[in-house]
Amino acid sequence: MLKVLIVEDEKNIVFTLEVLLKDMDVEYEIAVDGIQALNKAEIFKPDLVLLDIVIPKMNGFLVCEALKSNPITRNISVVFISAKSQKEDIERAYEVGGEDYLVKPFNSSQIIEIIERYRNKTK
Amino acid sequence: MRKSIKIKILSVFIFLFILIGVISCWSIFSFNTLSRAVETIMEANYRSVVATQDMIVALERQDSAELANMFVKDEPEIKPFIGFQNHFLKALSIAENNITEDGEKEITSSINTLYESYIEEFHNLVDIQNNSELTDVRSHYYNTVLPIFNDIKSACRELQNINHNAMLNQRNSAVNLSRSTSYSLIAIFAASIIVGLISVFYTTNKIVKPVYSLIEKTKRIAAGDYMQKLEVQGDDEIAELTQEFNTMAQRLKAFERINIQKIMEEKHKAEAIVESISDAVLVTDKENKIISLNTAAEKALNVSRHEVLNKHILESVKNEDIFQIINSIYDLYPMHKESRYKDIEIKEENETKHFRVKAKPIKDDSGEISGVVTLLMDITKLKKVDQMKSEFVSTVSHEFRTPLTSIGMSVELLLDQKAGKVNEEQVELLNAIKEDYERLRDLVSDLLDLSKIESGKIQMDIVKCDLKSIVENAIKPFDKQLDEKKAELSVNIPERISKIKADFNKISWVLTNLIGNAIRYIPDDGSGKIIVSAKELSNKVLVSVSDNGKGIPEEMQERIFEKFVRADDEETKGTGLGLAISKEIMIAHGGDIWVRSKPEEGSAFYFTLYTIS
Repeated sequence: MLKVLIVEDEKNIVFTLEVLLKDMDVEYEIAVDGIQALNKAEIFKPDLVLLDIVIPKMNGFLVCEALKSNPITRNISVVFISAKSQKEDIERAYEVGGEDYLVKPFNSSQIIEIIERYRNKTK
Repeated sequence: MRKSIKIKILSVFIFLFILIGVISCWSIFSFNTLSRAVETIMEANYRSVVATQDMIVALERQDSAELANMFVKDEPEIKPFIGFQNHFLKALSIAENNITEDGEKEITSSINTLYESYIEEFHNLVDIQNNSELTDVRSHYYNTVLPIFNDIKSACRELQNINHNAMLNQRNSAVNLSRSTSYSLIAIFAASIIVGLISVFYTTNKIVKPVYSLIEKTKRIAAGDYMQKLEVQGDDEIAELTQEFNTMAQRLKAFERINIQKIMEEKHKAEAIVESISDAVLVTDKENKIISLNTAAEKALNVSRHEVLNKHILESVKNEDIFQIINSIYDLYPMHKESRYKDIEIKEENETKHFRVKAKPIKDDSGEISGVVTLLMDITKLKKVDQMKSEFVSTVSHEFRTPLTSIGMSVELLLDQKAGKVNEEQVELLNAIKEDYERLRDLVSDLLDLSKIESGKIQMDIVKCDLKSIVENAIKPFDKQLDEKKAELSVNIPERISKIKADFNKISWVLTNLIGNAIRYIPDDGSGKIIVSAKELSNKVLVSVSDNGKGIPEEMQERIFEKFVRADDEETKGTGLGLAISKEIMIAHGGDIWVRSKPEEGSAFYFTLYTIS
């Protein structure tokens, strides 16, 4: 089963994502700040991290860099989900190891498409 | 009025006339003297000489007659003798009446006496002849008559000599007189010529000298030196002229001063106006030299007035942008075009100032450009406010995106029945939320785009592009919509059109936006038509998107490129930002965008892009 770590501090977004993923045969965990995200990534060992950029304690870019520099979490795929849509932000996201970038507001089909893509990848 | 020059000239002439008169009188007098001298010779001596000669002739004839008588045996003939006696006496009376020389009188009286005795003796002789022998006659003749005859003759000769000598003397004195008269006349002529010349030269000089000085000073006044003053000398017409000249020069000076005062007033007024303008003002002449600037300009350009005045703008202000704006006026003016403003940056040590530069030509009387007035509006604060606004919009939009995400997702999940069944009415309500969610989402997205373009955060990626592929890329998403409206979209681009300088995605976006608008307004009944065409101009390509939609009211045509301005109120589909964004994109390309439209006939949107030259 695909394991997804959702790193998002907005509880309504977390909630809607939970509702979406609940029916999708996906195992998921929630982290609400950067530090928690790193801890949970190490313990939960997800296949995919949906990572917001503007989060408490440590921003998404730094979280991603930390994940990529840790041998245990290095192979986890990171997809950024952010309201930031500027070119520099998107470029930076790819620089630090992100594999995709979803600009908020995204819709459920975009999330489903990503989940399915990574499910196929991990198989 | 003084008439002194006239008098001077007249007096010179009168003087010369008097001189001529004196010389003439003197000459006449001299000639008279000479003629009198000749007359004297005639009067005094010549007649006496002639008379004496007559006397001698008469006497000799008498003598001859006497001798003839002597040898005539008949009665002596007295008649011829008496006749010559009359001759003699007549001549003698002439001589007696013409006594002029010393001793003449004594001689004539002795001649008279001698002649009386001669006549007496003659009569005696006749008596003797009648009464006596021939020898007696002969002896009487030889002894008495002949000596008297000889005495008379010699007296006559003496008288003749006296007169002859006197004549010679008179002649000599006449010759001397004429010679001295000639000399004195020559002397007088020479003296008169010298005096005449001197007086003429003196007078001419006196008249002409001030005239020359007047000419000289008039020339200087003509050259603008009104400080010339002539010294008034004497009391003549020239002096009067000089005085009038001085008055005129003074008046001219005063007039000029008034004029200068007026000009200075105008200048000060203009300077005050320029100075009072809070924006930087720079005035340049035809050679691009700075002829005026205000304090604001000094501050803006970080220069001081005395450093830059009368210097070329590039040399003094060293700003290529301003120079180009001023220069463009000279290119635009003959085409009757006004230059638009241009925003420039001036970097200083610790800050960057932004100026909006506008330039206007200064026209002279003949309509030619004599200079350029350049206005630099400090828009640094405006730019900052603009930036803050953009940042604000950006932040706000950002903040909208997160809640929009959960709204959108939730509505979708509900509609997908992921959270249980929903009835039909609920679906309708959810669809209403979804529709408005999408509008809000697009609005936020457009606002962000606009603020990014406005703040310059989006850099145009301007490269060599093929217009055809941009158009193809732009029309692709509309197939479905065109089908729905049964509308026709034709593309009319020349095969060999030049490549353009453009950001492929941004121009695609503009075209997509224009075509999207066109589709929105064309009729649904299948008569809808959209034409995308392009035409190559000198160094630009003109692209147009025209439709046969309902058109745009004239009063809206200028405004539709503003934010949130829509051509009509009924339609609420768009965000109201598409054309504003399009315009910003075109400005960033150095191009332009505008619309031509007739209500109920359709609209045509045009934009220009530079070709690769």
